[in-house]
Amino acid sequence: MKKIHILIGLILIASTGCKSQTILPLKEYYDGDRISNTYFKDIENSLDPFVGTWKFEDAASNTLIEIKLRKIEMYQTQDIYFDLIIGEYRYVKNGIEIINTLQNFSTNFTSQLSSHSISIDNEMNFGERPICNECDELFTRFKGLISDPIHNTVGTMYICRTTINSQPTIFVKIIGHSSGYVISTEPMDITSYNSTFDGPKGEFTLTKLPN
Amino acid sequence: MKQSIKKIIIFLTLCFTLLFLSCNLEEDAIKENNYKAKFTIKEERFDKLLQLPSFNDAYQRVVDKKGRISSSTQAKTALEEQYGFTIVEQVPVKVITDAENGTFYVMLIERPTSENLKFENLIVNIKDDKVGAVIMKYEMSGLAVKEPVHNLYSMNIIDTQMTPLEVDGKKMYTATEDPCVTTAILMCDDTGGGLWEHNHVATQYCIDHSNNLYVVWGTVCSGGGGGSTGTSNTTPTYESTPSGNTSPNNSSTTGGTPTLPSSPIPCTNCIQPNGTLPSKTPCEALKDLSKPTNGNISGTYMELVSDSQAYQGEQGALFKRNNNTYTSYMVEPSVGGGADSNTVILSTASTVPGVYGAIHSHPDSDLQTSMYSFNDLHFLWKLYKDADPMDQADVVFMLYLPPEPGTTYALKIYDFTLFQNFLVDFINELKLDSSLTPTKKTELINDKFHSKTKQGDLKNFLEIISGKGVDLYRNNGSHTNPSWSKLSLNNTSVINTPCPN
Repeated sequence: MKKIHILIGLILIASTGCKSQTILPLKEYYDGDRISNTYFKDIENSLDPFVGTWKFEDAASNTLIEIKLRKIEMYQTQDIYFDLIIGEYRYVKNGIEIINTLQNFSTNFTSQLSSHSISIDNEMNFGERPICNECDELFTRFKGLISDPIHNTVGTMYICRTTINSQPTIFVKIIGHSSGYVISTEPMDITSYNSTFDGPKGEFTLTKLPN
Repeated sequence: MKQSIKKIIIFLTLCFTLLFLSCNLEEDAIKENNYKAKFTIKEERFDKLLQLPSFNDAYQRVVDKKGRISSSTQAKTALEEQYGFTIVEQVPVKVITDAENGTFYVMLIERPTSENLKFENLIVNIKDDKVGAVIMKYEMSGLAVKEPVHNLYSMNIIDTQMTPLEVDGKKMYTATEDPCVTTAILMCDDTGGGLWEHNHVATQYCIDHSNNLYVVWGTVCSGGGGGSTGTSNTTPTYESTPSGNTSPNNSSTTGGTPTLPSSPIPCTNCIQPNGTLPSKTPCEALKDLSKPTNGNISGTYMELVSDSQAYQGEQGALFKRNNNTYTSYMVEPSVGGGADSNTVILSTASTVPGVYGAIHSHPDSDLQTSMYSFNDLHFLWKLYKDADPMDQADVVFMLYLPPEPGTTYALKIYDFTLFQNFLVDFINELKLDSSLTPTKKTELINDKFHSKTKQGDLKNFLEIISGKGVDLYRNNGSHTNPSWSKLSLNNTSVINTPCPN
């Protein structure tokens, strides 16, 4: 009887086997193919050191950037899953608050990726441009997007972890995209846009605030 | 024993539940492909079809002729004598196989006098041993437009009339004997990524490549006007049903109004004429760029090279031809960063008439990739799509990489459909969140391409575009005396194939 059990079990496991989930390192989410039912997992927990609240302040220019980041695991788009960091930020320039989306930080939107202002999921190769001399090789460097919700534009955000004076620190480089092309698929097209990116641009060193 | 059976039942229930849950996604895909399973459309020469016993027999019964028809001339004469029209032999017959209703042969026919914007098709239906035949007369609001690839026609049919022919002494509309038929024109709303502007009559290409199939249904009865069958975006009168339905009332030849699938073939005079397209090899087209008569492209190229040293941002220029007059000119950076901005916005012929080519630079900066981006490939697609068909052989998108002497590349499309499918497939395979804003989506697509090409590595780029309808060329000569070579990949080596002098 036991043998029958095992036999039936094996047959059914084999028939459902085609649907079993494959787990690949997060890096493959950009470097490899996005095969159905794959979970691109942050196996080495490389995203974890970025979680928290980070602050840059420059009294001379009266500039302040506060970024809050949290990790989401097994985020699903279509039939694939991946880990990522989402976040929100506050940007004060010349003493004037330009953007503040921090109130959305804890909100669990239907689409977290599209609704949060910051998303980080692209693990960079070591030595990949733009070169970062400040980054610590002990930590993985990531690339993500930062939105300007007012103008509906985005910037590319390069982020790495380091430690300065024993303080956990992140080094951020942001390239705002105030013009460029937009690809659409229904119908297929490519159009140009010329707008404004009012989010922070440049290189910033942010230190971690206590929880 | 009883306990063991109970355990097996529980175990099996759990396993089957798992199996059921894991398979429901596949069912959706099957639904989308219903039309693919239901219909096939192919084209066949009329004289070849006559060699098929089933068709020959059916045709014989339609023309009421005793004895086997051995030639197309004999077949045509028989029809002409009986009905006053002939089959246009040089236009291929469309053979539609409908899983439910048998095989339908759609033939273009002509009469001694033609009517403006009207054409007629003879449709012969064979199902088992039954044969039906009708003449469908279509009236269009304007000339049909033949699309540049895959023999697609876009047309707006505003009236349909059906005349049944006698088969074996009976008027048979289809292989059944109903007085009316439900016409079903299989349509394709796949715009080919913008290649085709209108919904068009589906061909086998659409069935193979598109999930955007639908049917324009109509009811046509003998002699009467069949109303209009909208085959364009503007006036779809008949109700169309989404992919997956078989007919509006689920009818088939076994019950209800029979379905008559069709794929109208317009007459030669009903098609908008176009000129003969010039044929030119990519190497010839690249060589032509250096001709002094081609709008001083060499001068513009030198200006771009010079500006690429002077400014940090992307530089760009356009090549255009209007009424055989060539021009080329630098494009002013239109963004806040001015000449130091990272992106130069280039136009295609849809906004600047006559544009067929462009060159741009990727600055020697820490942020730029040393190869074409996905946006660049997409721009090339648009450049080709929007170009006048007479200019399409000349379409080129060049890339200059400083510092001096730098490297200049050129992309040439050799198969537009392949190239387009590559772009569409690349985006679809990313499985992006559909709620993303277009700008976010575009950034993520480009990031993925950037990673796949290993940050713009030449070999990886060649590997990705290999067999995708586009070829990469490199100028191995000087700026003023270019010498183009086609680049390809052989295992891990880049192969230079020089263009003939």
